[in-house]
Amino acid sequence: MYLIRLLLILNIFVSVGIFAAEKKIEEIGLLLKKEPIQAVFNQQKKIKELSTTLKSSGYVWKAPDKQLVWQTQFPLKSTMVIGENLFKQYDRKDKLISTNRHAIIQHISKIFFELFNGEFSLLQKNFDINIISENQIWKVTLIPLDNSLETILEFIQVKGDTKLRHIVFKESRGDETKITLTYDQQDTKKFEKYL
Amino acid sequence: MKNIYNNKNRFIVWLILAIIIFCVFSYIIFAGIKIESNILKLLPDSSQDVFADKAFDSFSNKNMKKVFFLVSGYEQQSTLEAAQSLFKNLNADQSISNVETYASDAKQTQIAQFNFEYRHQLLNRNNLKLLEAKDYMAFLERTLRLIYAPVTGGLSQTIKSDPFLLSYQAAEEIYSSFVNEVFIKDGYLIFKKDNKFFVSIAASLKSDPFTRKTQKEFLKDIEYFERSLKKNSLDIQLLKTGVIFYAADHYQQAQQEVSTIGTGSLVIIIFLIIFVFHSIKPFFLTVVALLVGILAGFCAVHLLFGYVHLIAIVFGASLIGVAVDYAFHYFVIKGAVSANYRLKKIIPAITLGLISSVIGYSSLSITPLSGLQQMALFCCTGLIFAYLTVILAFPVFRFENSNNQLIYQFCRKLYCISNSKIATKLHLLLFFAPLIAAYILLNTPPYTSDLRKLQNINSKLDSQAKEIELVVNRSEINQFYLVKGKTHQSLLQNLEVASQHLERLITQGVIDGYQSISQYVPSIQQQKYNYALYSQLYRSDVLEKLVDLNVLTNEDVVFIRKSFSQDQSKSIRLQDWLASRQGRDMSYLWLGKIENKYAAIISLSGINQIESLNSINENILFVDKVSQISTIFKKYKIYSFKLLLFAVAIIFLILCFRYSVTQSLLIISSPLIAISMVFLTLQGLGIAMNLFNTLSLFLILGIGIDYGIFFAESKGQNTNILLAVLMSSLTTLCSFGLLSFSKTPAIYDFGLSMFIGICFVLMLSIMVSSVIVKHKVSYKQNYNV
Repeated sequence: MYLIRLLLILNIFVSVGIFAAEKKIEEIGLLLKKEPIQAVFNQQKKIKELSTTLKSSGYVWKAPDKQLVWQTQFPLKSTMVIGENLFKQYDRKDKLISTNRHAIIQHISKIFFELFNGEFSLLQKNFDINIISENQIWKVTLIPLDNSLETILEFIQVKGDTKLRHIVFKESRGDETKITLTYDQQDTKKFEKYL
Repeated sequence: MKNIYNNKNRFIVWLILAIIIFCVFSYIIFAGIKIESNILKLLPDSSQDVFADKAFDSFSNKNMKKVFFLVSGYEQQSTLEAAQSLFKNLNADQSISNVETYASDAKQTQIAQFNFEYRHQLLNRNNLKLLEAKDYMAFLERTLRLIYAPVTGGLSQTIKSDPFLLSYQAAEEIYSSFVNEVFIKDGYLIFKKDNKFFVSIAASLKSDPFTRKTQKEFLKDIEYFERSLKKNSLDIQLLKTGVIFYAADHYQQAQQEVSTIGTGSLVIIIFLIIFVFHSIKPFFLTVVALLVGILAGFCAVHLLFGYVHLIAIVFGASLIGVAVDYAFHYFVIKGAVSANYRLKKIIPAITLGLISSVIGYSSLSITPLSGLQQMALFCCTGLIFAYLTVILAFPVFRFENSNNQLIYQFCRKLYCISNSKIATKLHLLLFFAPLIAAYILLNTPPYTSDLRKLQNINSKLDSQAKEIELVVNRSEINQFYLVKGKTHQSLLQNLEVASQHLERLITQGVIDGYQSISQYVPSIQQQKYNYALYSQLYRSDVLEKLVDLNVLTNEDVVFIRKSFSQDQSKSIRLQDWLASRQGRDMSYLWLGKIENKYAAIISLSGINQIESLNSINENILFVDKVSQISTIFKKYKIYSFKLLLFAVAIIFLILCFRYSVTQSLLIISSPLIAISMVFLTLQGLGIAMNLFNTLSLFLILGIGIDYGIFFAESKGQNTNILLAVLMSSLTTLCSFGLLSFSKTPAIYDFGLSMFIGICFVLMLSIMVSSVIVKHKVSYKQNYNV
């Protein structure tokens, strides 16, 4: 009898937890959907084969039509445009490079798009989503459910408060990328030409 | 008593023949009937370009057994699961020898290993342009773009051995050949188009897709799978293409049409016979004569050719129109005291009719077209056996003539009309028809029969094939470049020349793409050139720049340059690539040695301007089988016309041995005018003459000559002969009227021409009958014949 009671109590806790988590996902999703993104990004990438950390930086802008312009400015200028069904790349001279059809890049760019637009309901199809939330700060961890994604990614972690602040990509073979966003209103006209 | 004894002996001879035919037919059924519906099989076995023919045969044989599927759906996971289920089903299918998903892990690994091993010998189009322009920064940029991307997806592990990711570039070229987004999941190649997922699966059949056994086994499993797919999900669809689906569809359609025509003819014949003879016996005997004739024709063709073409069956089924003449003539004889009396009365007419028909059909066998040879053999054998049935088997069965008086009166009146001056004048007027037809024929520009317009393509299968083509850029089967060379190297060099030409055609929008072995294996000469270009890249300061950016160390650069110099002696040999995983997959492009030369195919996808595709030189030939066949059909149409005239001339000469020149002219005039009227009517209806309606003219000639001979040999039985002619032409008309409902344009054309031709032959034969009879009588009186 005691055991049954204990199980019931545990069950209630678990249910409350699930309910709270679902609520948070919706809230965070809504926040990311609504919140405009105009930020400087700083990326630190650790590649297993390399002893040093590769640093790069640039600017990220989420256009009103949800398309994401990701421009690396250091060490070499290159621009990516990611849409719902779109992936474009421009070289340092802003010349359009032939669209990359490689499966991995297509897949990752889609995840990127869904992440920046708070499409957690879509991400849930491929990831197990865990949330830790305290006060205003939240941390969402996405663990791939899918075999083909599992071979590439170990997990993705996004952190934020009222805005998205940090992203971590941990790759299955050991590479790790940390991205920090610093919100900075820049003239977006220079990015509009890529759309 | 003696007569009965003779009749019995004759019947035994016939029975032995019939049993032999039945046994042969049973053997064919047991061994597997092979009915060919492919219109290409009508073509001659050899044409002027033996090399191109052998290459085409080899290419089509390789493709013939292939089946291709796309499982489509809006939800990726469920689509993939359905594809996995199809893969499982196909693997368990006894008629399948191999199932392929294109992207299994083992295969990807093997291809990646090959690309890595020979990365300094392989060079894609884009990189070639960059290296020739000495744009080494582009290589650096690309490496940095990949290495600094948030997720590298394992590509970074090769950075120390392949800093420019050359092995990855080679793989990327394969992906860039697809128009739509493509990715790999769980070993399956998945295409994405308009938010829909398409999972591809290919399979190879164990045996010939034209055999009914293979079709039944394979299609039963596929239909079962499709049913279960529909039951489980409304969203998932199965798109399929392959020769077997078309072959099975043609078979079913042919079966349906043959049974419709057969049932239609049978009902009309039963009705006519019962109505005219007041007995069912003539019906059964006529059916026996037809069955024996058709079975004998079928067996003869199957034994001699190894298969029977559908067109030959349709043409052969038209024997009904000729063979029933023999039977009806036997039954219409009035006042017959015995069966031998009937035979005596009809033997000269039906024998002469048989000889003239056999001569007419035999002329078709002179052509090198196997389809026409089959028709000739089918008809000649069938007619001979129907004739033998009438003279050997019919006399055993007692038959009292109690013909319908109403019909007799009608025929008598008809005969009287044919005696009228109006009929004679009209007949004389119609003598101008052949002249008008000849004038139009000589002054009309030659028309090329488009093969595609003669084939009936199932719209559902065709739309599925087109959708598959849009998703995966499948290559054209009938149009391709054929490249040859004395050695492997000269072949590869010629393939490279062709590739340069095709690249220009892509930029001009003539074609969307192509697949060539040279895209995977450059010639040794090109491999050396590629290596030389790469050596400049490795000598440039790009590697040092990667050191500056902390991507590489100085030790890494030394190692990279050392391994590059070690690769100088490496080369990909064609035979090694063919034995590799990718080579095996692309083997449909490789034809091997033909006529002491190595040959390969360059397949084309998305042909937008076919007229701009031509042979480049004697070693790089453009093969357009459809246009080639259409031209051959046109050639043989003209050839058939000439043969028809030749047959008319021969038959006329034979007729002159028995009849006067005038009478022979009268006999031959009806079919000749009828043939001209078919041509003029079709011209009036805007239907161009093609090989198939030209072939129908042979039958019209045969039937028309028969009618004329029967009147000439009527021996005072004019009304009876008119009745026999009327009945046989009515049955023929109804049979061919039904052929006009065929969905196959070639058969429709054939049926329509027959319908028009028989109408005219009947009308003209009746009009000319009294004149023929009169001439026969006066000829006999004058020359005491």
